[in-house]
Amino acid sequence: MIITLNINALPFEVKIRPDEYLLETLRQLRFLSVKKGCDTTSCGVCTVLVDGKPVASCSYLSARAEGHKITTVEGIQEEAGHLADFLGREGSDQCAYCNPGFTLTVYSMKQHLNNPTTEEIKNYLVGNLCRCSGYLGQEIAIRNYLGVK
Amino acid sequence: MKLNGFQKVKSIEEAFALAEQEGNIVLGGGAWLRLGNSKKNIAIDLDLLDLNTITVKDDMCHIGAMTTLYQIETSVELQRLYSGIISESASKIMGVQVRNIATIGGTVCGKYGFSDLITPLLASGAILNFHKEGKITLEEFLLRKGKRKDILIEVIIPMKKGLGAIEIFKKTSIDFSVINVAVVNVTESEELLLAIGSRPGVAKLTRLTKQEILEEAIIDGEFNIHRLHEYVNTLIESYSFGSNQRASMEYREQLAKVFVQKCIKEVLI
Amino acid sequence: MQCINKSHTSLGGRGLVLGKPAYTDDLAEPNALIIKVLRSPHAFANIKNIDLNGADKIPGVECIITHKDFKRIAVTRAGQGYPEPSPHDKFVLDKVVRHVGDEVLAVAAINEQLCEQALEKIIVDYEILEPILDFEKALGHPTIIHAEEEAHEMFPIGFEPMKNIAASYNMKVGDVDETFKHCDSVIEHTFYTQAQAHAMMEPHTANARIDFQGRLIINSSTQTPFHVRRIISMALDYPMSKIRVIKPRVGGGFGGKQCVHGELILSAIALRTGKPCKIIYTRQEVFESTFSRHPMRIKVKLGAMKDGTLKAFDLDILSDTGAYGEHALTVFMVAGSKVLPMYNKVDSVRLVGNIVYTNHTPAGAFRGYGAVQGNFAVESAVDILCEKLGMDPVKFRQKNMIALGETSPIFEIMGEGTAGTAMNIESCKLDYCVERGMELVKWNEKFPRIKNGHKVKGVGMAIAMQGSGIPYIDMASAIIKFNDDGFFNLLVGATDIGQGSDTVLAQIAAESLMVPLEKIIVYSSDTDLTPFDTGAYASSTTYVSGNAVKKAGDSMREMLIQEAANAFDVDVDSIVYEGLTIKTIDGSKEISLSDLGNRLYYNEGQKQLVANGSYVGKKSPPPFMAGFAEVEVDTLTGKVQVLDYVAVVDCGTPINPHLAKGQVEGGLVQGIGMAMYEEVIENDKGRQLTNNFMNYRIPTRKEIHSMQVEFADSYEESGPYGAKSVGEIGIDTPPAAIANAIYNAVGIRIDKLPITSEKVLMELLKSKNL
Repeated sequence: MIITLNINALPFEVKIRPDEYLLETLRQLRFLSVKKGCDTTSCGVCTVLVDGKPVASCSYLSARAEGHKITTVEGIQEEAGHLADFLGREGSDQCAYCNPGFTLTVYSMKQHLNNPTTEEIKNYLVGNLCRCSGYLGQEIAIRNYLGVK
Repeated sequence: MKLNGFQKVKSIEEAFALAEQEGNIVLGGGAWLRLGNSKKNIAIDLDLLDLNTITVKDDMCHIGAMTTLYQIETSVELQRLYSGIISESASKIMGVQVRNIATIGGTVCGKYGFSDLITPLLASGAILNFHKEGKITLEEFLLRKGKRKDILIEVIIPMKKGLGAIEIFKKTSIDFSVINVAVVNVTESEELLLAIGSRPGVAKLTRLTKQEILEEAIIDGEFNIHRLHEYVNTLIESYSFGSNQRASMEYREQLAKVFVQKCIKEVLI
Repeated sequence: MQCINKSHTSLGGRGLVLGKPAYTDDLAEPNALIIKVLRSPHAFANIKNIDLNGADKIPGVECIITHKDFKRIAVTRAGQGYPEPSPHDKFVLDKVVRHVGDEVLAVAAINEQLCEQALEKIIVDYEILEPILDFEKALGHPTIIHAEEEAHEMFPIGFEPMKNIAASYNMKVGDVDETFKHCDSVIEHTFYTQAQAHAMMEPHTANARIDFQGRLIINSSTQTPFHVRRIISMALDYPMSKIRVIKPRVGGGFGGKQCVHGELILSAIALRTGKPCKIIYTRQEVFESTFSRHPMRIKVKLGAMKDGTLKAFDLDILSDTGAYGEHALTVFMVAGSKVLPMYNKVDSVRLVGNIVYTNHTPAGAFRGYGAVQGNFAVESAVDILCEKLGMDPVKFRQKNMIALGETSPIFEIMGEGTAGTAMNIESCKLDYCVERGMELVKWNEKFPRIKNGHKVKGVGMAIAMQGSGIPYIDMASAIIKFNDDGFFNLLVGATDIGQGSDTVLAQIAAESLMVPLEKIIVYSSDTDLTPFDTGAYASSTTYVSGNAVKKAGDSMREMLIQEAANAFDVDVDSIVYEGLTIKTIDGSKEISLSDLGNRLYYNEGQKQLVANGSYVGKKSPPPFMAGFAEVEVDTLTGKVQVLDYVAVVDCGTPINPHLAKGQVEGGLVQGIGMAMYEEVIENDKGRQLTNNFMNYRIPTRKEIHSMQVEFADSYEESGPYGAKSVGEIGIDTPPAAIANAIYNAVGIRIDKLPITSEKVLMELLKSKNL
């Protein structure tokens, strides 16, 4: 089937299978920031924003995504750059494979949570696994990025 | 899951007509569609039907079937109901990436044993409203065998004054639970509603008489939780537990005893 | 120092956060054929027949390969120096399958759906054989997993496949039985460690194309590109000169990519079709068809005098290497060689054991590499001994542990599958690490426990050591090229898999050349364009590759001085090298690096300056660590939370403190995972029940409350600018420290990992009933 997807505020007409997921469609459209990790919605590296909310693109049907707004990290480069600087300062961007998905979740958290506590930050990000960093460096970076103590 | 077609329907009637045809399937959130190997014909998407709202009318909370778990987590109405146990249970399910996709309709219709949301819904006296069949309690729906071709429109929770308590035990935060327990004390009622789920079987409801518990537990005007041991032990025997790779039957029983006591105490004091 | 002990932001990190294409699959040709592998549903079976049933006739299916398409050449997939200390027991495709998930055949088609269609058509006839699923029953089991005549060892490693032994080892110093007779206190205990999965975020993937010169060009998510090139060449009998392996950015490895994974099948298909192709492992394939940590049974016997002097050490280890023998011997040996020397003042030591084949997913390299298994057993046993002696566990370690200037006979006896290298410890701040760790965790206030209703807190500790590369075996090299405009290309074989080696090595080069970091442009891990490096393992990168980079840098500096001398027509002794500027001593002449670069390319005495350095370690100076865990046990549910973990590390000079801290923190969380949450579980047919992230649970950020990581002020003379290594040490202590903390809290000793809440509660209930 042929659908039109709104990705980073631009329209993309694309041919998809009915059972195709957004992860595959986005990577074929060369949005390579979106990554494949686990096949079971468990790891968060495939996170994209749909209508501003983080979803697992590996399990979001592309056909359903028509009519909604999709955001990948390619669409928020300036904000991502700010967070990247904070991550870099802590040395917590190790293999960085989880970082684009994580960045979108943090970006969404910034829009939705007001002055979050450490607990609230952890709850919001718990679906973004990281095997390299041990998490604490990321958390310092996020607090600095959000400007919270 | 393999699909031959995908249809965003414009009305519930259109959805129902398509659903009646063999091989078609109504999508909930679709969060775990890719986990199965089955082949279906047309996937029916209710995305355009505005079934993703939470509204309160005549002291009933109407949760549309396509309401996501994240909406349930953040709903002010549900956060205030029965000490917020429904919102709390939703908030602990996997990560936001799943909670923004998974829906209450998908969760309930799946009758998943591991569900942390079904348990507090059951203890809160939830009622399901189907397009064809109309209203049926969640309790009855869970006990019913077999599947019927129908479409869930909404889940309705009677909003009464009362307290709730919930315990969800997991190995890591985004794991499936080893056991979950919810208790609701509706002030005007003579009963406590106790639901235990993830046994690993699906949640099961028991009605407890408040008077009986108070008589057991209160001695010299003081609530003594330890006196509830026998009561709770007998109660747990009426539930069946099982073993799987997450936990043994014995461990689940032990945890159930501890949590049932804790929840009862929380809602009665 | 300008660039050393500085937390520069990692090179390329920003771009990766921004999502720039850099990983293996990002570099695949858009029209690459998709490869799917048919994998065995059985733990052990002979393939009697393969009926393609028309699958090869489906339009769009380009190639199907089975064992019939290959010469029978046995190789090892282990990424190790050649000749490898692992048995050569793996074929590209075989007519025997030895674990659930083992390769049966492979299909390449223009899309994934056609691959699946083809696989559905193919009919494979298996003769199901009785598998060995309990490693304690492997020895003497009637089933022989490797009966094939082609399997062989490259040199004696105790390979006895007819007994299901992949390798065996024994060593001794003195006579333990004699020493035990004279000890005041002897304890014996058996410990079990589980199979742990690496769970790196990027699944294994590789892609290949045939270029216009007819060469096989491979991008692979690997830790060992040079070993991969060699093994492909051997397995496919194809000249190494026609193979190029490139490692792009990798999404985590931790040892799980220190081996060949899909590259053999990929290469075979690329060569047969002449077309670009790629293979991406599903997460299930990563769990079932790559590698996991060697499970071990470790019997520890310790003997001591009543004044707390440790006298004898007896270890008997059984290790499960699964269906194939990658890293079998070497992981086993590290369980001893990186644990025993910590207590170097004993009279006698014995280490014996076998590594057996089973029909489990093969075991392989995993951060810690045996040291973490050995550490769990020994450091738990030490606490058991301390209780029997009535001695404080910290004081016991302080009395017996290795110190600066000392040595251990183990260093000379035990190497990488062979004899080792004698070594004096020339940097060791273990004593400081212990003292400082006690301060940070507030040991004296909290030991052994603090009760609070039904919750009890406890503290426990463990010490650890690792190594820095493998002496006389691991070689690393670097090339530095000087450009116009005065910047440098640093070409290294060393593999950055996220640990930041590109950055750390650039810092070392920048320091040597006395230039800002921006002047160093790093390119790494390309078998055509970069010089050799064994790869990212054995904690070798900072020490071995770093020393090679420093040599190259020092050499380049000399060349620049010579060229400046030529330009000024003076002697080299009259030159002062200040990095961005080079002057004469009297200051009368000076030239910027930039001008010198332009001059050398275009103007006078034109030449291309290239410096190179190679390094092989003559020793493996150990990093040390003291780890302290504070736990809280809920005695009603058995749930254990790690409230705080303190790690004080001696890694010599941390070249980049933030990156080094990240290595320790990441290692700690993996260690906590191994201690408490992670376990590969199989059903009775040998199929993993934990073959996805829904069932295999790694710690999330909510499990991690507090970690305090500090570095000791230490300096290793033989290391680049005083550095040792830091990649693995972080993972070694948590299992023992947490087990000890739980014991101190509630008197329950769990000796079988992982320490789950169920195990704790059931033991608590048992002990109440006694």
